[in-house]
Amino acid sequence: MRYLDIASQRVADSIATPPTGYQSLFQKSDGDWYVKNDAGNESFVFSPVRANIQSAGVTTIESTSDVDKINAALGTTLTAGSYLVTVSYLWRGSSISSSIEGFFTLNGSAVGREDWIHRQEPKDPGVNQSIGFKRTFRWVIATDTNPTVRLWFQGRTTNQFQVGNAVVEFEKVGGP
Amino acid sequence: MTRNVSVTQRIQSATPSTPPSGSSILYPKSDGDWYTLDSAGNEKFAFSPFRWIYEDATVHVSTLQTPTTVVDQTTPSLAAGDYLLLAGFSWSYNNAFQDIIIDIIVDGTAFDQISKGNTMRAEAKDPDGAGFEGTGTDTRRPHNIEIPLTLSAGTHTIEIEKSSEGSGVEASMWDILLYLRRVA
Repeated sequence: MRYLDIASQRVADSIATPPTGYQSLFQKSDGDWYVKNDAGNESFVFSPVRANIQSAGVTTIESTSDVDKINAALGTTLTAGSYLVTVSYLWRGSSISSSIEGFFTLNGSAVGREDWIHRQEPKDPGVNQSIGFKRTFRWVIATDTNPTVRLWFQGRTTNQFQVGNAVVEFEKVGGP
Repeated sequence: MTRNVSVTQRIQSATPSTPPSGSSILYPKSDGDWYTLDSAGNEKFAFSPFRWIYEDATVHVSTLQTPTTVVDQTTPSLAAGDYLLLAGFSWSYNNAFQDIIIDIIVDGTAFDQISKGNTMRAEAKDPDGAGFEGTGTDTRRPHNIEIPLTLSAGTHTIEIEKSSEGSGVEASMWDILLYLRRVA
């Protein structure tokens, strides 16, 4: 067996099928790593691409109109493929009979069935409450993009709602 | 310098011989996944091309107290190992004083993390609003959990069942995402 200090490889978008009984690990020009088996099938295995956008601090909503929590470019170009997109934040509301309403888009479009992803009344309007919201969606992009991420809120009424630290995280899980 | 375009390794049917001190090796095994072996002889799972993703944006509404099947899927054949199943969905229930009941069932057994009989059982608190897609309410609640699974080699069934505590009350779920990946 040959031992190398480190394996140095040239990026290649396609490689020859390995001999029977072998598998090949290789990196494509988009930076992602794939395995090709001896039947000629390629499979995505992992990507160095991980990105997130955050909004720290407390945003107060006292309106039935839109209040942006995040409305900005991600700041990282995502290469074409399949992503898991996880939206998480902490929230509270001052009335047990009025709902917070949360909305989420990427490049102006919903990632689930609609942009309206959250509507919920707090059970307890105590000032110390902090309720977690977390949802993961799948997002598939055909071309590279630095997406505009928008997460915004409304109150069902003008009661006070607050949203704390919000994070939108992207993890690539499949090739184009 | 001529560089290779790939690391091409022989598929191992068993753990190979231990590399010299200060070295480790990376190789595929006949289960299709890649492993590392260090100079102390410790073999560990490294990564797998296997990923199973299931999505369903449909709004599933039922009013029955008996469980209704929402998802009934069979995975592709996979290697024996430890997996995480991410299960995410939105839900609503059109009654403030009763529960929606949801079970995520793998190979016939419901995941029941707190030994109360169901994967998820929750009172909706807020059934207000005009309703959409027959749900009877505008409530939109999140649920996102990761379920640890130790799975044998081969295919496995993943089901989701949903029911209402009260007869005739709309129990709804939509934007279902299931993501199964090997972690060890």
